Formats: sequence, structure tokens, C-alpha cells
Amino acid sequence: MNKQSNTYIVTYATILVVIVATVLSFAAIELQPMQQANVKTEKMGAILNAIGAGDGVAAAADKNSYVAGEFSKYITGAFFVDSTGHVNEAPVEEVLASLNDLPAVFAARTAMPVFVATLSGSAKEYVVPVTGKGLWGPVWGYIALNEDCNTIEGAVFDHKSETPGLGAEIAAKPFQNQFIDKQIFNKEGLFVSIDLLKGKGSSAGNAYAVDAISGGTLTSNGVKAMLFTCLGDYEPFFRSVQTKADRSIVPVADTIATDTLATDSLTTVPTDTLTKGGAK
Amino acid sequence: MSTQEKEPLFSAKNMNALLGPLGRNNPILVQVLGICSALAVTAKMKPAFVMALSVTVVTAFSNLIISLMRKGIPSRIRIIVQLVVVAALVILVDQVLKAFVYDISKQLSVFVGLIITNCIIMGRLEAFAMGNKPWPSFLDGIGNGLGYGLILIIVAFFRELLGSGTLWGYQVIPQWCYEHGYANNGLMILPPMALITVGIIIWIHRSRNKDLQEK
Amino acid sequence: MENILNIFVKSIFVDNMVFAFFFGMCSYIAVSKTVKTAMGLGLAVIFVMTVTVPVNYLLNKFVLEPGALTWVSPTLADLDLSFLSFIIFIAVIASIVQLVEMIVEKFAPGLYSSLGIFLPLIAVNCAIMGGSLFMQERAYANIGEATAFAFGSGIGWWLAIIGMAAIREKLTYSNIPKPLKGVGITFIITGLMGIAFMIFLGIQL
Repeated sequence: MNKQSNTYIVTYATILVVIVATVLSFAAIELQPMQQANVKTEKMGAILNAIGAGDGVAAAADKNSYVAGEFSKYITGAFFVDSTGHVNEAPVEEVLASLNDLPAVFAARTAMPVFVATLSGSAKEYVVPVTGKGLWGPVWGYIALNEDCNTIEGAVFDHKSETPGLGAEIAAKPFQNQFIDKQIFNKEGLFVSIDLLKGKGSSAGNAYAVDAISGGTLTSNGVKAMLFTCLGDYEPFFRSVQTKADRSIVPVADTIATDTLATDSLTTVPTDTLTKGGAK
Repeated sequence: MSTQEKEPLFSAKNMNALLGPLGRNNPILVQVLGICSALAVTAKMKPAFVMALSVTVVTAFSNLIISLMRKGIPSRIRIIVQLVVVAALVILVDQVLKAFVYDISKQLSVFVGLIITNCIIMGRLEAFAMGNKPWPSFLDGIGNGLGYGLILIIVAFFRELLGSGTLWGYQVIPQWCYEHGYANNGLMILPPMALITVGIIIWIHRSRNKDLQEK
Repeated sequence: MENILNIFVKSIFVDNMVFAFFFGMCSYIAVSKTVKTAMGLGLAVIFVMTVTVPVNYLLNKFVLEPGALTWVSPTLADLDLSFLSFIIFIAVIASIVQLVEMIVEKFAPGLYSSLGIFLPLIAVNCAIMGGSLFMQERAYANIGEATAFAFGSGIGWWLAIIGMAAIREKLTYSNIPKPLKGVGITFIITGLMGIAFMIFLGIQL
């Protein structure tokens, strides 16, 4: 057979394409459930980190089932809220699925996901996702809020491609731990979000700010903007929870109130952090 | 084929195909092939290792497959056929990484896809697999992939050690060093230092192998 | 419009293909010996990049993305062909390069003689493939942004190779340690140029 003839070339190419397509489709379909499970585990793991649970993941033999188990243990509910603060109950699975395209969720602002976590001691926390842009690409995270929808109980952030050692530090514990016990509503009850201040120690004693990352100014600005817009989108919801609980916003200066609030919901935070957070 | 005398599986020639690229004939250092984008994942050792492994798998199997097909490939669409085979293998590797080592596949991001355009692979297909039997081609692929991976890992070793004070994610610079004023060199993590590190490796390699020096 | 300009400037200086991502290093090192050839390859890269990225953008948007095929039939909403993107992108790049080569050869022989020899080199240039992959990864909002990114990246690559070639021409008269001559010093200079380009980091329009 003439190997240079057009018929041969066309036949050859066709057979090659068919074989390659079959192999690839087979692999893609076979591996897809595992890939999706990984993506889901990552999201559930991040939510667990935000509420300070799921630490045993590194030691767990089967990461996926461990995270799924912990998740169903702590996350007791989930729902969507819209930009007016109206709540639509939904199955947890469905709310989890909405995390796959967060930018679209926040663009539409009709169904923004909220997770309800119940920790030991029946303390309730709300976990909301946030998403924005860093220096190079998307940054995102989860914020766990106390039942008062004001005090931050935990925050995790992640990023796609921030500079390692600089902007990428937002994914590290020291940065994220600063958020614990900060507040997003000020004394007058205005939504102020969390500011990121330049310079190490510049946010000391400030209940509404954390230290920005030195050398990562643009990433820090991205995080700041992300917190302001995304938490701002949830503001009507937060307010409706606060009025429903018939509890006005706890003024920060009111140390007694802050302390009782903090101690009954959180047992692990050392007291010096608490006083720092509520000092001013 | 059957009339040809049989070579032992690990004859001297085959061993040379396998081991040559690891040392004197290193594809990055000598042929300057395939530096490309893989350097971008050398800030930490773990992703560099996975990248090295992926490149080795793709080089070895594409060499094997093309060598098996070499008699039938119409020369006019040779390059396209090679690209299709390589691309298919890379997709498989990408899918497997996503399914089994998701964390690392996230770090590698687009760079897995760029294995397709890695000049080492196309270079070896053209230079070796098109004219050799499957087994030597396979060994040649493994050898070149490993030779390439070796450089990635050496670069990653220095960048992670000096840049983050860790190796393979574990802290190796003890805490008292930091207390006495040692600081991680943040510059090492940034992209340009990968190039400078490779430059220095080439320098050392060439001062030991004088015949490779230019002019 | 402002956004497009921002992407354009950023992809030239900040996200420079060569200095930030090492794309297209093979041809970058091999062809940067003289400014003249570097110019030819650089222009070819700009051209091919600006053509292939928008084409791949459309393919990604209307064929490959999860649910992209809904315009054919709503029942295809669950179909996710993104696992095929590598193979489709490389095929598009290879065929466009071939096509461009034939067209240039036929209609502009003058251009072909100066630019044509570089075209086959480009099919396997990681910068081109990288451009398409980054376009997919970064999910640009519209084709304008994708084109601005492609054009900017092409110019960034051209700038890098021209600069390198100019430096290498001067280097001929320098006294470089023997083992470092050629490739070694090229790597180190590229690294230094990369550090210089980092002053553009964080540029925002």
C-alpha cells in the first residue's frame, strides 16, 4: 500500500483520532467521579478549617471519607440567601455545588450560600464563602461567624497563583489566625468589614483590622476588597439574624458582653487574644 | 524484524540510551532542550518531583508508542501524529494527577499541559524513536525524562532550601538559626532565580566536561 | 476598555511570558544570537499568538467548557469536554501555523523569506500553547480581553528576545569564563533581566 497516498493518510488519521478519542473519553469518564470527589473534599475541608475542625485530615487514611464524615458531623444545615437577606432552605449538597462558581454567585446575588455549623456545646456558627481577585489571579476563602453575625470565629483563604512567600502567605495560618475575634460591625452598628493595615503590629488593639502581608500589598488589597464586597452582600442577612435573635449588635467597648459572648461560643482561644480583640 | 539477531535487554548500547542523559548527555545542559515552562514549578521540591515524574512517563511512553508506529506513519503528517500521541498521553497524566494527587495537580496548573510543547519530547521522538526499535526507544525516553527531572529537582532543592528553609515541606533550617538573624532568601522563590540556578549548574557541568564548552 | 488596556500592559511587563513563566525558552535561547533573527521570530510569535488565542477562546467558550454546547441543544448542558482542551488547542495551533505559512508563502514571498523559516518552529513553542492555556485558566470575560492578553503576551515575548539578542551581540566582546560561555551566561542574563522586569510588578492602570 502506498504510504504517501491521500487515502492512506486520511484513513490513518481517522483511525488514530478514533483510538485516541476512545481512550481519552474512557479515562475521563472513569476518573471523573474521583476528581469531583477531590474538588468537593477540598471545599468541605476549607469550611471545616474555618470553624476550626477537621485537623486530623493529614493523619486520616482516607482523606475523602474523613472530611465527609467530619463535615456531616459539624455542618448541620445550609441555605441560600438573596441580596435582601431572604433565606431559602436547600439541601447541603446543593449549597456545596454552588461553591463551584462563586464569582457567578456573587454577580447574581440571588442565591448566596451559607452553612450552619454546630460545634460542641451547641454553639452555632455561620460559614460564608468570599471570593475576589488577588494580584495574579483569583483569591477566595471562608469566613466563620459567630451566631451574632458579627464576630469572626475563623477564616481561611486560598489563592490560585499569588507570589510564593509574599501574597501566597494569605493561605498560611499566622495570617488567618489574626481574624479570630475581629468584628465586622462597628460600635454604631455600621458594617465596616475587616481592614488590612500596612505594617507589622499596626492593627494591634483594633477590632476591625488585621495586619496586611508585608511585601504582598496588592494581594492584601484584593483580600480587603473581597471581604468588603462579599461580606457586604451578606449584610442584609446578617442584620435579619441579629434582629431575629432580638439582640442588637454587641458594642465592642462593652467588654462584659463581649467576654460572655466569646466564652460561651469558643473555648479554645487563649484569653490574651480575647482581651486584645476586645480591648479598645 | 525476526531475522535480526537479538540483543540482550540491557546491552551496553541500551544502557547508554538510558544512563547517558543522566550525566554527560543531559538534555537540558547539553542539548538545551525543554527548559521551557517546567522551571516555573521548581519553587518547591514536591511539585518539581511530580512534574519530573510526569515528563518521564510522557517521554517514555510517547517514545514507545511512536517507535511502535514508526513504520506506518505517513511522513507528511508525521508531526501532527506525534503531537496527537503526546497530547493524548499528557491528558491522561493530567487526569490521573487530578484524580489521585489533587493538591499537587493544582500547583502544577497549566504547566502539565505545557508538557505537550516540551521540546525534549518532540526532540526525542524525531531523533530517536522514529529510527529505533521500541525497547531502546522506551529506555531512551526514560533516560531523558530522568535527566530532565534531575535538573528540575536540583534546582528545586536549592530554591526550597534557601528560599523557604524547608525541604520536601519539612523545616530543615533549625529555629535557632532564625533567632540568630538568619533569614530566608525571598529572592530564591521568585522566577528569575530558577534561571540563574540553571545557569550556575551549566557552569559547573561545563567546567567538568571541557569538550562541551563553546568556542 | 480600561480593563482591556490593563490586561494588555500587564501581560507585556508583569506577566511576561519569558521572565515570569519561562515560556518558549527553547527557541528563545536558540534564536537570540543576533537581533535580526530574533526580530523575525519575535514578530512571528506576536502574529501567531494574536491569531490562535482568540480562536481557541471561541472553541473553549462554545465547545469545550462544561455546558458550552447548550447552543446546539439544551440536553448537552451536562457535557464537559474540557479534558480535550490540550489536544484541541495544539491541533488548532499546528494547523493555523501551517495555514499561515502557506498563505504567506503564496501571497507575500518577501515576508515569507524573512519570517517564514520561523513559522514551523512556532508550532511547538510553549509560549503559544501557554498563551492558550492561560487564556482558559484565567477565564477572560470576553474575546476582547483574550485578544488583548494574547497581543500583549506576544509583544512581551518579542521584547524579551530582542533585548536578549542585543545583549548577546555586545557580549561577543566580553571576557566570560569559558564554561559559562554561550548557554550558561544566557540563562544568567535572562534571570537578571527577569529581576529588572520585576520593577513593573503590581502595575495597575
